[in-house]
Amino acid sequence: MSAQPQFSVNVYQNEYLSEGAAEVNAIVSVQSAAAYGGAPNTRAAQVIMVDCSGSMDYPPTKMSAARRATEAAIDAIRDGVPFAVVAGTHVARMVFPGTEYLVPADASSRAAAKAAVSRLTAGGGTAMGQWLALADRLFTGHDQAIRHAILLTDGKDEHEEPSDLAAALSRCEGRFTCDCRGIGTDWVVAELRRVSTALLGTVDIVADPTRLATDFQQIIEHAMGKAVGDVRLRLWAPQGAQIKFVKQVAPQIVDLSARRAPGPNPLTGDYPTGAWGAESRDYQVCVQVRPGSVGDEMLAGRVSLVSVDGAGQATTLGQGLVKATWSDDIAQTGRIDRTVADYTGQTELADAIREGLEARKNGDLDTATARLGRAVKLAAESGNDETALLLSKVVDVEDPATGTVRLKSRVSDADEMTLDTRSTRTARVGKNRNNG
Amino acid sequence: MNKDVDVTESEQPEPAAAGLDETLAETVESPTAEPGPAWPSCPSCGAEVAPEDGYCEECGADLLVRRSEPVAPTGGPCRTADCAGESFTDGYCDVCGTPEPDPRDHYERDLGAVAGVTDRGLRHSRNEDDMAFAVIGATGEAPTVVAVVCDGVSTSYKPETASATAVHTAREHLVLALRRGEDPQSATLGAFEQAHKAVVALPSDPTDAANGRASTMVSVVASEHGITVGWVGDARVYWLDQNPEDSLVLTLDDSWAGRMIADGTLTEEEAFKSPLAHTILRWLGPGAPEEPANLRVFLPEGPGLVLACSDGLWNYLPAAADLARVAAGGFGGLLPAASALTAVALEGGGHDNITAVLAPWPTRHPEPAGGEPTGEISSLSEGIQS
Repeated sequence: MSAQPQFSVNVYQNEYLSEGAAEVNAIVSVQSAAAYGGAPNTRAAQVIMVDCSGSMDYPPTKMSAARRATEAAIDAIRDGVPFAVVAGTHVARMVFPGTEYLVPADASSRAAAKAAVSRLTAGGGTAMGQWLALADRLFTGHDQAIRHAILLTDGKDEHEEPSDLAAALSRCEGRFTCDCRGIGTDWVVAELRRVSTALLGTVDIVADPTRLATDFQQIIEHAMGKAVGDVRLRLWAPQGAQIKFVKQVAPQIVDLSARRAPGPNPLTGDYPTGAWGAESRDYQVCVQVRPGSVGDEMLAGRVSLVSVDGAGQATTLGQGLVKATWSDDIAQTGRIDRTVADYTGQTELADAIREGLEARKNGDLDTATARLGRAVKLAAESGNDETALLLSKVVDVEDPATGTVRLKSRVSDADEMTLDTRSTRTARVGKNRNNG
Repeated sequence: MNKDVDVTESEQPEPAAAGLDETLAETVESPTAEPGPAWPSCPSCGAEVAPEDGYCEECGADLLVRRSEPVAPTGGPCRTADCAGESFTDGYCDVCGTPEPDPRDHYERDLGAVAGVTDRGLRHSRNEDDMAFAVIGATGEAPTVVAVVCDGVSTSYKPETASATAVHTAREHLVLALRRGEDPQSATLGAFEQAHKAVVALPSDPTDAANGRASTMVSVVASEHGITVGWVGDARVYWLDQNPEDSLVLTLDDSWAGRMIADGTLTEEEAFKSPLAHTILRWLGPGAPEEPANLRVFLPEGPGLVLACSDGLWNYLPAAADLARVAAGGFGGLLPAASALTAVALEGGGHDNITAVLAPWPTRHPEPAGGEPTGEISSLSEGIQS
C-alpha cells in the first residue's frame, strides 16, 4: 500500500440561519500534504497530444515552439513513467512509439521520442475527438496509474461534428485528466474549456510561443507530483434537501454540479476532483434544506474526500461537516462569513467577465459595458489585481469604485482570450480574516 | 409566620371538599393506613426478604435505599416526526441530519417520595442540567429523601458532563454518609467537596486548557428532622407551603444579581435588568472559590413541598407563591406537578434547560398499593385542571 497523502478539510460558514431560512452556504477548504518522496513511488502514465494541423506553420514559429515544448515535456517525465506522443490533425497518429502503447521513460526512450518529435511537420485538419480517443486507448491497462495528458492546439475543432467531440469527452471522463493549451489566437476558448473541464484539467492561452517550453515542463512536473488519483468529493445531504451547486472555487472556478455520480447511498453523491499532489483547493457547497425553527440544529451536509482504487474500493481521506442552526439572535444570523462572501464575489466576477465578453462578441455593447463594468468594480473590491489588469486591456476604466467603464474600440484577440481563459482563476481567500 | 401555623393546623384535621386538600389528607394518612408487607422481595435479586432486613441476605443489596436511575447511554430512533432514521454518524441522523436524540433532552424519574423532570428547553441544543435523587429508609418510618440538581455552566467545556458527574457524585456521597449515620449538614458539605473534586478531575478542553468544566449545584436532604439545603451557584431550593403565600426561597443565588439584592445595593427588579444578572460567582470545578458550600436548615411548620430547580425554571416563575400554586397538584402526585412546572417554563419560551425536582414534607413512602404511577397521574391530572 502506497503512502496516502494527508488530507485536511476545513469548513467555513455561518451556520446560523434566521427562522425560515433554508439555504446553507459553505466553503470547504481541502489541503493535501502529500508526503515528500511519496509521489515518485506512485505509478503515473503520460500522453502528449500535439496539434500538427496545417495552420501550425502560420507562422512557423508555432510548430517549432510545439516541438521544443514537447521535448522539454519529455525531459520532465520521471524515469519509469510510461509515455507516448500523439500528433493531432483530422486524425490521430502515433509519433512515439510507432505503435499504440506506452513506453517507460529512460534515457534511450526519451532520446528516441525527441528525435521523432524533431521530425514533426504541419499538415492536415483538426479533430480533437480523434486525439482524445487515441489517448484513451493508450491508457488502457494502466488503471492503477495516475493518467495525465497534455493537449496543445492552435485552432478550432472543425474537422468533426461537435457531437463527435462530446462523445469522445464522455468516454474519456474519469479515465484521465488533461491540461489544455491554446497557442496563437485562432482557437476557441469555450471549446478548449469544455475539454479541460470535462477532463478536470487546466486551460490557458500561450500567446507567446517562446514560453510554451517552460509551460509544458511545469505541467509535467505538476503531474508527476500527483500522489493519489481518482479523488472524489463525496457529499451527503439530508433527505429532502436540494443540492443547489457544488463548485471548485480555488485555484480556479469549476462548476461540478452536473458531474454528480451516485454515491454509496441515495443521499450521497460523488463529484470528481481528479488527482491530487501536495496542494490546496477550495470548494463551495450550497444546499437548500427544509427550514427549521429557532433552536433547531441540522447537519446540512457532510463533505468527504475519498480516493477510489482500481477495484472501486473507497478510502476516506478527510471529512468536514456543514451545519445549520436556526437562531433569533441577529448577532449570530447577521454575521457574514468572509470566506464564503469572497468566493461568492469572485464567482460573480468570473460570470460578469464571461457574460460581458459574450455580449461584446454578439454586438450587444450596452450589456457588455454593464457586465465588464461590474467586473471591474468586483475586481477592485476584492483586490484581484491580476484580473483588474487583464480587464484594463479590454475596457478603459473611468472609476473602478463605481465600475464606470468604456469599451475599448480596438482590443487584441490575445488580450481578450487571455481575459476569457483566466477569468475563472481565483485569488485564494485568507481564511484567518474570519477571526478579524 | 404565625398565620402560617394557624392555617396549617386548622386545615389538617378536617379533609375539605377541594381536590387539593383531599389529596393532601390521603397523603398524610397513607403510610399508616395500610401497614402490609412493603418489601416482600429483594428489588435487586428477587429473593424473599423480611421488612426489617437492612440488606438482602442473598445478594447483599441495600434494601433501604432506592436511587433514581441515570439516563440510558443512547436515545433510540430519530426524533424528527416523519423520519425513519435509526442510525447516526458524527452525532446526526443518517437520513435527515437532525442531531442524535440525547436521552437527557427530557427524562423523568419518580421514586414516590421524590420525583423530577429535566428538559432541554426550546432554545438550547443540549440539556446541560441533570438531577439525581434517592429515598432512604424502611417502610413504616418517615424516609429520608436526598435530591441533587445541577446546571452545567454553558460557557464551560462540555458542561453536560460536569452536571452529570456532580449530581451522581453528590447523591452517592449523601446516601452513604447518611447511611453511616452522619448528620445531614456534614453529609451535605462533604457531598459538595466530593462533587467539586470529581468535576475538577474531568479532563479540560484539549484546545484550551484554561477552559475547565463547571456546574452549579443544589442539594436537599429532607427527613423528619427538617430540610437541609446546600448550594453553590444560582440553582434554587424553594419551600412551597400548602398555603402558597407562605412559600419561600431557601437559597440565596451565588450570582451578581443575588449579591446585589442580598447586600441591599439593588432591588430585585433592578438587579435582574442588568446584563450581569446571571453571572455566576460560585461553581463546582476548576478555579472555583474554595469555601464550604452555602448551607441552610429549615424546619417547616406544616406540610408542603420542597422544590429543587435550575434557573431555567425560576427565570419564568421566580416567586415562591406562584411556584406553589402551579405545583399544588403535587400534594397528590409529584411527577405531574414537576411536569406542570416544567410546562410553565416551556410555554414561557424555554430559553434555558429546565429541571424541577419535588419531594413532599413530611417525607413519605409511596403508597404500597399505589406503586403503579398511572392511577396517581390520572387522578392528579384532574386535580390540576379543577
